[in-house]
Amino acid sequence: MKNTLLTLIVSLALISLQAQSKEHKISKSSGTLVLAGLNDVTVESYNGSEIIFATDSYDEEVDERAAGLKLVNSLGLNDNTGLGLAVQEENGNVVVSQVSSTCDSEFKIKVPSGMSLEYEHTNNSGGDIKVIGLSKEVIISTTYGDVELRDITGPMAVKSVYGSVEAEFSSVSQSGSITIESIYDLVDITLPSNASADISMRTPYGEIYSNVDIDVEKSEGMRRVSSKTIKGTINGGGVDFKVKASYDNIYLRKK
Amino acid sequence: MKYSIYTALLLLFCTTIQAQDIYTKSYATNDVEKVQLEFMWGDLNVTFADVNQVEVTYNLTVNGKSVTDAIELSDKKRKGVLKLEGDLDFDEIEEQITLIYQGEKKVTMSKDEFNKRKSSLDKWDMMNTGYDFDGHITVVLPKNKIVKLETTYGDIEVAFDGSKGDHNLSVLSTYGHVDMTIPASISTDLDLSSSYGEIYTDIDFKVNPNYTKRQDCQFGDHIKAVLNTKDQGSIALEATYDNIYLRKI
Amino acid sequence: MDIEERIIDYINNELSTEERQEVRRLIESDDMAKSLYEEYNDLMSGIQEEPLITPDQEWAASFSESLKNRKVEQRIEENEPKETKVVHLQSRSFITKIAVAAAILIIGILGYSNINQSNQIDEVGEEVYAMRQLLESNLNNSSVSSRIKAVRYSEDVDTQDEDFIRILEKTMREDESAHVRLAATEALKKWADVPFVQESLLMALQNEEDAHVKILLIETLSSIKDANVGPHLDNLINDVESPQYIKDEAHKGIFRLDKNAKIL
Repeated sequence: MKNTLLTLIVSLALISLQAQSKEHKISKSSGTLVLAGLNDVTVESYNGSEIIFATDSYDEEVDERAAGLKLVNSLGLNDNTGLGLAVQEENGNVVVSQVSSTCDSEFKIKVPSGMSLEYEHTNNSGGDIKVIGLSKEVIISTTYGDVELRDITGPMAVKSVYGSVEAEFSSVSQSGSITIESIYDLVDITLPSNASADISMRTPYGEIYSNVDIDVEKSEGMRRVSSKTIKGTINGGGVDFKVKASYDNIYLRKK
Repeated sequence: MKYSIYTALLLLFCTTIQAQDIYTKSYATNDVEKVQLEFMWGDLNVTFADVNQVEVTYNLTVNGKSVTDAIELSDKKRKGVLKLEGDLDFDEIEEQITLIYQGEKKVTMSKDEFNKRKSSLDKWDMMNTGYDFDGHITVVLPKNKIVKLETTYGDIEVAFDGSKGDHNLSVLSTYGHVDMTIPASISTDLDLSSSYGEIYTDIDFKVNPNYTKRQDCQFGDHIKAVLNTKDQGSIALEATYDNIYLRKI
Repeated sequence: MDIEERIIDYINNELSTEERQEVRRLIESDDMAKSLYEEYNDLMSGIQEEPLITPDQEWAASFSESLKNRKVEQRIEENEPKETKVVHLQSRSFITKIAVAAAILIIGILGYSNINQSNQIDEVGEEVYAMRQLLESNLNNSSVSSRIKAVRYSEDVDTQDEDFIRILEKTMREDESAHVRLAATEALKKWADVPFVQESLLMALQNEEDAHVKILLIETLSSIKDANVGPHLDNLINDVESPQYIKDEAHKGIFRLDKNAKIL
């Protein structure tokens, strides 16, 4: 019995050691990185001139039967990265689609700091996205995926139906606008103390919790103190910053 | 004279050869437009020839023994369709017991033998009951017929070298893979679909991107495409739980 | 007449044949005249700009202030030194570019040209016309967050001008980004009682595929009395292909209709 258990543990350890990281690089440092329907992705900004795609994959039996053949999908795209992704350049942007049909693939992408990001995911498996360090425009739309943004600045438009949105700003860019919305899950935002914004937070069926000093809009000398809508300015006002969580809570924190 | 012609005709229309290891049966197709083959068990290997019949050859071993008595192959001809259904009668086959010791050592024996030796055997960790099955079915089809091939548990391999008129082939495996070879020079409409597997090819056909919306991992892949000129024939391949391989000759 | 005024007239076809030839020669030979011509010509025909650096909060406030106070008009009448009138639109600062460009547009309308539109434009109309031009040119921006910003600014414009509202309505229907369509739908709530807006919202409900926009459309329409959205909600509930969250919202919509809620 003991021996069997030991054998089991050892075999599991061996399996995990076999996980190999595969990479693909593209020389590009401007324009938008458009990720269409990729499952779980982490996108991190860095000071380089290449987009680097990576995935940890278990090297199971390589499909020998498929030797000499290409993977095809219904958009007519081919896996031209070796990672189950099809990458194409369109109008100065880089468009990435998932070609392989496995639902449990995870991708890590390093993107040059001059690029903006667009991510869309609609089906009901996966779709979680984590974005780190981007200071260009971030446009995200998910149905089920959770969105996590760290060390970002905006501008952005982020929306999810069932996923939560957590955003930690390192600074708040004054260009463009910032819109963050979840219908059925929470929105949790952290702002640096010197952030300036014209903020509007709405949660028709949830609660708003905040420890940030907001100068609430006055109408005829009266402030609206209902907890369902808060509209006002932070640090004198600034970028248009709109937050909505229809059926869950909004948390607004200061760093 | 009459008698021998009669025998000859009988032999021509329905020939059954039963050898030790293989089982072959042929079916005439001059009065048929469509040929439909459905096999529950066994890997299928299909080629085409200038013949007027369907020839089916079973090569089947279960539990290491070649079995032909268990083969159930029925045929039905109606309204220009020849339908063949192949199954196995497992009542005819003895079950096999495999005993596993300490995750590694395996001992296999027939159920009979197991029952006899039960009391004297060492205590096992795990016991598997069932059939160790290896079946290959070779089929030669006539050209220029509408063809529909289906397996449930077996793979399907098809070598199609083109035909004179329009062709119409439909190949489906539920749990096995589908591997087909065609000439890259023929013209055909293609319909390739897999719910849980992948689709591989080395042929440059033109995919219709408007047919399916952006592919999502959970909904599998369904590709409609055209190789060379459209409306010159159709090939539909489906492997529900496994992969599709489409190769050029 | 100074150079800019002649160039404006030239663009508006207000000059005699002789004068036209003169100005054309000037434009071809003089660099400054040429650049002025190009700038005003672009402005008049509605340019598609490179992604603009977006302005800060101040421009909107100061711009509408100046419109209201007719400061622009006063400046025309006074004898301002040339420097303030010569506009170097090379500046990448969006504030200067568009604010001044719009001011020049007003100059053109008010003082020196006979553009057809000016016959129909009254005082309030001029202001809205300018806002419309501004909104339209901002909506040509390739950045999603900039377009959203433009749409949200328009929410604060107090007008019933149909052409202005139509710009928003068109954005709701046609913008390629669902995020922008969502912002436009939100902005249109204010005008949801206008018949063509209601019709457009209903059409959008049937054609829109994005979850958020669709949900907002259901919410908005079901809060309007007599919007006739009931049958559409039923369709959504009965449609096998509708995702669960759409069906849920449609149910809530029907409930809201029954409660006879007022316009949001």
